[in-house]
Amino acid sequence: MSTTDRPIARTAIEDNLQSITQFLRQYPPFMHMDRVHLAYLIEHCVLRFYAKDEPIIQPQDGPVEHFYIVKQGRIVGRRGAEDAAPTFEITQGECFPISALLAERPTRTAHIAATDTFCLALNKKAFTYLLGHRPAFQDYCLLRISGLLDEAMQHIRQQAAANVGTQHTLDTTLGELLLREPVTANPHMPLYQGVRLMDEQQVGSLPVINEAGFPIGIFTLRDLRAVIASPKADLNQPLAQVMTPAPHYLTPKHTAFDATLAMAEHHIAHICVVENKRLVGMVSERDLFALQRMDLVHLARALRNAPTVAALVQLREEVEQLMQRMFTQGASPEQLTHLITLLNDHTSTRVIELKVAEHPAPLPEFTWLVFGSEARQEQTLYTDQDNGILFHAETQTEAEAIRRQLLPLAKAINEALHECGFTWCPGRIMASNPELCLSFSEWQQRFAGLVRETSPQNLLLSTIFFDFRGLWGSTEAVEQLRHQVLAQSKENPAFQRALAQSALQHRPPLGGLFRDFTLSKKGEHKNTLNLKTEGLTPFVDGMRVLALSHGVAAVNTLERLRELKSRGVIDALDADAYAEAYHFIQLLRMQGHQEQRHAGKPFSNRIAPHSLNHLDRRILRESLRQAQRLQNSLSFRYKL
Amino acid sequence: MRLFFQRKARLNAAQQQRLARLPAPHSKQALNQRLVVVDVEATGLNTRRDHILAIGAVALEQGAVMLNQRFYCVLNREHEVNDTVLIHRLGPETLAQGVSVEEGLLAFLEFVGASPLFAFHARYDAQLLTRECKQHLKYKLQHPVVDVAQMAPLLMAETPQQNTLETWLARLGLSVSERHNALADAYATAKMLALLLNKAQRQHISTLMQLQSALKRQAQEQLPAMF
Repeated sequence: MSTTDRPIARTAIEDNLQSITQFLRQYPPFMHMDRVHLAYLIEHCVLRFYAKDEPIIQPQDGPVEHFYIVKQGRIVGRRGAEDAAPTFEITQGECFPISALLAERPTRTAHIAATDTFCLALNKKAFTYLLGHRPAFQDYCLLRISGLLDEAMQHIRQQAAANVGTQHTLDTTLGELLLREPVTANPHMPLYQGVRLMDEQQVGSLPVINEAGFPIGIFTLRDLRAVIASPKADLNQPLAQVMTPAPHYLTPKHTAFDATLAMAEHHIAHICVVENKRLVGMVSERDLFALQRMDLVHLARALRNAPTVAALVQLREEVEQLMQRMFTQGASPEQLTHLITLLNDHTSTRVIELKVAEHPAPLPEFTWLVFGSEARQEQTLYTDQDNGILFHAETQTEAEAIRRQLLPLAKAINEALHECGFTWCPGRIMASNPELCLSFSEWQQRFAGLVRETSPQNLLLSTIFFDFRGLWGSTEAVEQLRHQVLAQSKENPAFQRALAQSALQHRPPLGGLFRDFTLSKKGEHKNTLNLKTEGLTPFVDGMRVLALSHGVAAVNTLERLRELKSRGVIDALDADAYAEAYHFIQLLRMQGHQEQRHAGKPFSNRIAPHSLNHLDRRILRESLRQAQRLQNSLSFRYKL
Repeated sequence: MRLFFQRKARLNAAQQQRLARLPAPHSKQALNQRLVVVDVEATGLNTRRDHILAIGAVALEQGAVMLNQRFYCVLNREHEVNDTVLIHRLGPETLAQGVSVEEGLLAFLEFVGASPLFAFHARYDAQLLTRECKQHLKYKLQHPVVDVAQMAPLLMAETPQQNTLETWLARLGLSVSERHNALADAYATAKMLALLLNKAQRQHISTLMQLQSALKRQAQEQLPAMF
């Protein structure tokens, strides 16, 4: 027995290990690893010290040789000397550089000690061993940068699932859902043959494909009803004459969620799945039924067909319940806000249709505009209305006359929307406001004025109005307006600069000695921060400025971001980091809404960071730091 | 009179061989080579009379604490339980489970190899180890021993009022929560040494000899102030 094998010696050494083990146990992925593998990890670590400002790894060092865990202290990533704000921050319990190590390449970002720092450094061989043998470790590392985020999302979903029940996955791809070869017909097949085929094969739809196998049409039972109902029904006519041409299709890589969304949006029950321009299968409403996704399609349909405003009001409760379920089932915040907007669009459209139908006199043509979050398709359940009306008039007199006709209708619509849960806009951004019920040329002047004169009031209005889309009626004029706004703002650096300046107003609540959250100090909001204005708004405002400056027509914040990324306006790595940060804050916000709804409390965007678990708190801090980075880059770009 | 009575070393043949194989210590090496931090627990503070009860040690290489190079042993000694038990918490039962004094010291020397020794308030540890090695192994401990407690004021801008391991650890923001035993103390000292070696490098002290002469200069400069 050697000296250190004595029980007493072993105890002391284990005690010593214990302190490091306990330290690691607080953090993912180590919290999921067993004692033996943690001991293995520690045995293969060395503890290194780095003085403040000392680089730990740098691009010029060559392929990374160690996996580092911050034992104590703080590390920042800098991509260049001119990079004022650090790219990221790594604090106690966090690890780096996972992706460089996996790819066996040098780091792209210099990792520098921000304070005196101790790191555990695991050699590459041991890292590779753990990667091969520990699923928790592997999962964590392979999820790379998203690891923490996914972990948090998983946690949040599990929490939400505990409220409702089993978890389903909306992420199932259509490829996984396809069970059988599609039953198809060619365009020349006589109608009666097609119907017989559908009957024999027990299918509700018959895709019609060309010689290359691409679906050029679809024939469904609904189409059959229409044929039979017509007096000149000819059962010998070719399917090409009775099919619905150009059917909606998706690829096998799309998810059940995408299919559900498409069905809800286009009011269809069958979707073709196409791969390499060939039809590979059909997904029907019934297939998705098995996944219990169809309530969405039915709800959308019910909203669109609601007979009265009162019926709509009742359906809104179901919208909330559905969102709760979908949140639980793992829909992403982007999917959810999209869905809520979609259902809100259906509700608003139906309200408009009902009110137009109720109107005693014939009405001039108009387009219903929506602004702000509704235009950006980023609504949550907690929302108010921002809308307006656009119509055509040749002269000012005609405009006044049409306005007089439309205003009472607009008022009735605004009231009905309020009943449906879209609360009054406090800033009176509503179609019933005469200043927002304008002819095309009046809107043109109004928008041109906002770009030309950058008063504080105008800048505020720009942030509302320049996120716009047409919800009901012709959208042609709307797109002309957008074209004009983009052209004018692109040519007006002063406007861009002023808008950028105003985008810096909502500062992410970080700072102070400990670089922690800066929270409200007193009052009812003590120790909380506002996820919407302090977390999301910096991203929304930032993307708007950049989109308007670069002629990006997208309105949705993430779409703007993607477009700006693809045009190279925003660095790809930054863009991904911003998107993740935005996602996470939105997720926390929606989680808060769900909890408030459960507890019967009023909706609020406030959150107390200290009530979050360690992991969420850290990611929130990191996400807010990304907002800070975005603002810093705006200051730099617009020389503010 | 026990002090004048030199006992014959009670080593068996295998231990004799091991003793003979111990390498000669390095004294001119660079600080980024292997170093050993040691801490001993003893029956008291009198280095001429008190006995070592436990030895803990941790190695550093390239300035990094090697978590897989740790040493700890408790020595099997009978001694009267006195107040120091409250500090080292090594009661008679624990000591009874320990290894023989000869075996413990020998194993420690094997762990040390040719590396220089570092300890906090090193005089205490060095004197105890030198005496016990001589007495039980007939071995002359010639390894350079550097006092981490003196290195700290040399390399750090401000010195806390009390030059103790605890105050330094607190000052440097190093956790002190670990259980008090020779290994935990050696580990804590090793962390501190890792930090100090980093500072030393910045001050262009990269070899053991440079460090020792800098420490000597510091001691001389402080002399007048002491009188």
